[in-house]
Amino acid sequence: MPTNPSVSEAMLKAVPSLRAFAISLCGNVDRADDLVQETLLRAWANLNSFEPGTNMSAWLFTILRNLFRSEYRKRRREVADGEGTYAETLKSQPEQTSRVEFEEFRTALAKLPSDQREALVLVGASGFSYEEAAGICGCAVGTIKSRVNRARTRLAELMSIESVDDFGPDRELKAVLGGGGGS
Amino acid sequence: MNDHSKPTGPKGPMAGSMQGVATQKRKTSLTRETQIKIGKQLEITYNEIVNQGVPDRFVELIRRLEGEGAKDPAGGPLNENGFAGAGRDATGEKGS
Repeated sequence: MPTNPSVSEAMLKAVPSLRAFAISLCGNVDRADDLVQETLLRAWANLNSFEPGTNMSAWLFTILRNLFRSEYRKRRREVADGEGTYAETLKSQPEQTSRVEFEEFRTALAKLPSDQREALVLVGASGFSYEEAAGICGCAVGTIKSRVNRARTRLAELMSIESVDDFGPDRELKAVLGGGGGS
Repeated sequence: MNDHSKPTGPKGPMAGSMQGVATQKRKTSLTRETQIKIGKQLEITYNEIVNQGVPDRFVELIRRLEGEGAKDPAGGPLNENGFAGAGRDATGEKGS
């Protein structure tokens, strides 16, 4: 098998952003790391389907996303409320009580539908082009664009409402912000 | 919505938010600000993890896979059944 050192180096190089993507998908570091590990194993086993010269990182992101999707579907059946569990995992993260703004943002991010969140993260943080993101998500470029737009709009709404403070934070958010801080 | 100073954004980013006239107005001015904030927060959140680098477990994993590949150059890659256990075992037979 092609145990090309440049291949393994490229894989390792992709790990930090794979982790960041995975965490944004599942909101939980341990699960995310397991997902990354599974991704690397899957990728390694399927190296022959990787076309040299193409974007290794995009290829790995695609595998990770597909793994997450299948796992997510499974969990969804078990847990029933997919979105709620994201908020729950955020709540369980310690040492962030002073970082209210982060909390706000992450809570808002976690509230996005997963297809919007992944599109936003791929384009807005991982540095993929719309075309690459479309490839990773297996959808049209226009779909990615509209998901990113909707994600931004929704986040803006969630965060503006927070700063305007005209509407109280909803229960879930309150639980996260208040519950984490103790008092 | 005929605000000419509309930021780059999608058409009618405020279209869905007709809940209150007051916030509507606030939002128009907040949106640009918030867009920047979103970008920044996203970046910070993301980079916070990226900056953690490559945890050892992944370095070890890749090294082990490389080792297996070298040991078994003709052979097939790992089979899927090997996956579940592969990462978890702490046996680290790397000592060569």
